[in-house]
Amino acid sequence: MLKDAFVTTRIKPYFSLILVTLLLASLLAACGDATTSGTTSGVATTAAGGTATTAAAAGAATTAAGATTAAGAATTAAGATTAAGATTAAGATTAAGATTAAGAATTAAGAATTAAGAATTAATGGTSAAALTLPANCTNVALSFWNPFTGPDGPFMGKLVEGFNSKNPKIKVTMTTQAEYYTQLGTAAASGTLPDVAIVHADQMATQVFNNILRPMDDMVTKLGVSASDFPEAVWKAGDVAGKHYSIPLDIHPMTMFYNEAMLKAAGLTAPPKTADEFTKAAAAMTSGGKKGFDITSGFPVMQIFLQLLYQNGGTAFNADGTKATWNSDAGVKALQWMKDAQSKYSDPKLETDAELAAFKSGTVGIVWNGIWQTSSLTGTSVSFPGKATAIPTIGAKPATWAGSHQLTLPVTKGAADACKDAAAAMFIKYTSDNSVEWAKAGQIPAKNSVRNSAEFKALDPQASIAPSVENAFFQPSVPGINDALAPGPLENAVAAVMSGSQSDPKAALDDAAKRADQVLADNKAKFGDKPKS
Amino acid sequence: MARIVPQREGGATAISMPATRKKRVFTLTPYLFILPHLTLFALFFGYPFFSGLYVSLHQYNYLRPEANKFIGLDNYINLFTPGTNQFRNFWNSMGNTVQFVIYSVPVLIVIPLLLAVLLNSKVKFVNVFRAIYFAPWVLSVAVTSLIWWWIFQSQGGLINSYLRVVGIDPPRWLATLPSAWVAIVVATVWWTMGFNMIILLAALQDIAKDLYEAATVDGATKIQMFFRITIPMLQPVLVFIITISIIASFNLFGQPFFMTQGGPVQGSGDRGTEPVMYQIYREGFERNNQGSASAMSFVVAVIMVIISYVNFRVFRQRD
Repeated sequence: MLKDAFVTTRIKPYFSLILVTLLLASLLAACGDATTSGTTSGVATTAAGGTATTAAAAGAATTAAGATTAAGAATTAAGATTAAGATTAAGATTAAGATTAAGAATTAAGAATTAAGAATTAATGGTSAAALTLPANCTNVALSFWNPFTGPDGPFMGKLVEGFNSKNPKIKVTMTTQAEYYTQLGTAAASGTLPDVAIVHADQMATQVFNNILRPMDDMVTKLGVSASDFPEAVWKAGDVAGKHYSIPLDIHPMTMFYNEAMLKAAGLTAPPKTADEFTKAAAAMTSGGKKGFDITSGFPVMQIFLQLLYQNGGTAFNADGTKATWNSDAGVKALQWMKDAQSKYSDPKLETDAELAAFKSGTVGIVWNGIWQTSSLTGTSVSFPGKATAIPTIGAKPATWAGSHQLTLPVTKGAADACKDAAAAMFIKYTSDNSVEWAKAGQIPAKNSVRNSAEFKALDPQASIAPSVENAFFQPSVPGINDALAPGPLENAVAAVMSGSQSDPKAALDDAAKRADQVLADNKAKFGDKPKS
Repeated sequence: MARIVPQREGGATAISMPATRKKRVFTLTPYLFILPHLTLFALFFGYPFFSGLYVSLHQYNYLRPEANKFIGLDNYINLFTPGTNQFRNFWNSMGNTVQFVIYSVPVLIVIPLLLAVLLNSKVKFVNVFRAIYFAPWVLSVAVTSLIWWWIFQSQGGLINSYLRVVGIDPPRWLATLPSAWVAIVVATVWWTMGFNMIILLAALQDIAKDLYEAATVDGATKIQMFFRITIPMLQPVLVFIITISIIASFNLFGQPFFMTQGGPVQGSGDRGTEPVMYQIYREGFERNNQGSASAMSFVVAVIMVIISYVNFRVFRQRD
């Protein structure tokens, strides 16, 4: 019965299919700009997927082919996603930097003399620790390294890995970039195929520890010669779970203010706002006719914005041990009310996730707040006006910045830990942390104080001007499953309900969310217990 | 006489021996034939089914085997106890999925049927049109959702740009209800109508031409022919299509995942377009409650079995 129809339509569907696919491909390419802005919409994952693969391929080719070709490949990969001009410049700097650094470190890797060790320390930015070396009996150490950098930042990490490999001929780090990252880590744990080093977000740390993904790093921390004082306090503490330390912070990615400088100047202002009064004045001055002073979405990252204002008003999201939600305090209600007022005065109403970015890019919006990872799509050559990024203003009584953080961690091993791999992992983690200025070029703020204070980082725009805000970054208590209470979860839903207008009472929304969150926290506590296995 | 009996007995045994052998061969052969499928079925359906049942009776996290424990029907009881998070999450998302089924299935039957009838006539370039209407079906859900997200998104999206040009204040398609459902249903229909259309087209070509000729001779109009000949002749295929469309719509996951992220959030603090499959995924793999997620899956499975049964039952009675 079906046969006739399928025969008559067999050839032509495929023919026109190819046509349609080509058409779609060109359509994708044409609006690629719009798609990469969608961090959460999954849209970006597909669009950027191709780039990540290219980057990974380039990474794999590197070790075999040699540094020059690899640098070239990486630049091309990056160029495909971001503005061509900026990337070429960045690529060139990195390549040059890597060569110089490589020269210094070859000596260190070759002969482990104290003099060479000192040279490495000097070259990599001045830590007090002695140089780390491989035990004498270790050769050809293969190290697997996983990260979730599926966006345009992937190639930057690839370059760091290449740099490390070329300096350490006895070690080969293979980088794998995964989407659906924590599901991947979970399945790898179940099948005993976890990598040797992995990036984990600060807010996932406790969950991953309790899920038997990570092992404590206290010994390695001593060996690396780093301590809490080398990092902003909050970001280091994110790695403390149940009395042990599990991570070395790599970067901090804070909430950032993006503004249209042309609109700001047209409204008679010279500098971006830093306080509540300045902000209100600027937003009001830029709102006229079809133009909006400040666009705020009803989707992601509206909960992050709420948390930031909550902390600025002196509130907290949870009590100290993470057993009760406390966001329905006066500080919380005030924060949400401020957001609602700002939306009604200066913003397009009922915007979905990323719609405020699309509006900003069209040049009709003065200010948006979003993650620092949006820098490449909202500033520079990506927009037809002077789009700028800077630290978020202080609306409440004290400065506070919402931020995420990528941290370097050691996943659990199947049997006993391999001494060679651990030594190599320590070297790699130290290298990555010390050279995180290269990573900062992807649009992140290095977590390490010495790197953040280095002249090389201070030359990066706009990262350097955003950097001071990470001193005030806050993180949630190290409780497993804490994100279940935030997003996707009750708090995000409550804030979104108020901002989309479906709930008009901020206090009622926050109260209900707190009630639901308390149940989540109690369930999780019963499920996870007090102590992780390792 | 006395000799005959043992002979008969002998004969009987002689006959029965090959008979049992024949019987054994007779029973083994069909099993050998279905063995490949049976193996796959047992491996990919039977085992997961019983494993899921086992998991659903436990507090279960595959990453923390040390903490897994038998809790009887607690996971199911939670799903039916008002006030628990599982109850709110599950039944809210179930309601969303049912809404989607109600909105999408009629459209997924009517439009492909009309297209199939059109494309069954002698239009020029008919094969090209068939290909065009079928083509979206081969796209992945991510690509489909991306295209329609871009068309529907409120700031600079295709539809809203044109509405602004015309001077209409455009709706926030993806951030308000019920327009978010409109967007999701339109994307789904565009994406999957080709498949239903092809099956209906094949069935249409199977209807004997002489029925129409006889009707023409009797002076029936085109519309009469459609309702008196085409629809009745298509009935078995329509039952099949309705059933698979309902099941496919129940499995809604990717379109809201990419287009609305489950939003907009309703006043109750629940997400307006988050489908039940998305909720199960979150429960199982984001919150690592595989026990509770398995229980949810079983409840959904039971509901789908009931719906399919009722569907076949209703149409069989008409036969």
